[in-house]
Amino acid sequence: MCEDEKELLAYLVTSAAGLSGEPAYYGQLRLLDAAGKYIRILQKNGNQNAEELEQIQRSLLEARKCCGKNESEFSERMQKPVLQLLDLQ
Amino acid sequence: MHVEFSDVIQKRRSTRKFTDTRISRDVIKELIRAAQMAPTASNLQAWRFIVADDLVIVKQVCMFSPGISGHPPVVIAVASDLREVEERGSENSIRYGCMMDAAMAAENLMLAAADRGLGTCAIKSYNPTAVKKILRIPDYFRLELLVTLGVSENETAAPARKPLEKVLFWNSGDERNV
Repeated sequence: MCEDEKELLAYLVTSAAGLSGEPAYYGQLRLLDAAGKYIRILQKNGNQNAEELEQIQRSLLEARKCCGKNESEFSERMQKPVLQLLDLQ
Repeated sequence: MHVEFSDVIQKRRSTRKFTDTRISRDVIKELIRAAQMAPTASNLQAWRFIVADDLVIVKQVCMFSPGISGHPPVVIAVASDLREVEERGSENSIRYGCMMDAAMAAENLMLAAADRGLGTCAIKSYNPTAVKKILRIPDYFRLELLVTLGVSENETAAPARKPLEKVLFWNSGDERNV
């Protein structure tokens, strides 16, 4: 397991352990950040979908800006990375 | 580089992106001295500051602290020595006193850091079991919060504050009297 993979695993497990005491939207934040970390791992490993992954990463960062602040805006913005993933070959 | 205190209050931000500039132990000691000047209930001074500035250890702490972001070069664990409480404290010290004291000390630390142009962030999202093991914190130290420290990579605007009229009450907390 490389360092980045270990970090991601620790991040997911630690988040699961701690989320019950935290604000509800932290769940979404943790998932977004974990997705971002996983994308970086894929990019480092030279994944063939480099361009698409970069776009998904940007969409996730855009959505993150309204996470916990504006639920409807967040929901709307999240549709973009969902659709980008759908198009991923 | 010291600034007016009122400017320090305005300047302080929660930093979530750090440069890789290292912070000297002399500077960190000054910040801890500032933290020590905060009041404590019954003058308990039960706080203990475990400073991680070894990058390998900092990385491990960050791995088990989902609330930490931006690769800080320093993480300060603020703990309460519960032996002090047993000796000179009370039930209330355990229930809320020590936590209050740790928070006030952390705020002093963060303002002292802002005064020196450094960034900090108070962190409560971490796994205490893992962090205590990584930093070899004894069982009788209760971990209250973490504070990340370093040079901010970017300047951020302060989140808007509620209007004063919403939070300030004179002589009565009854909202119907406002």
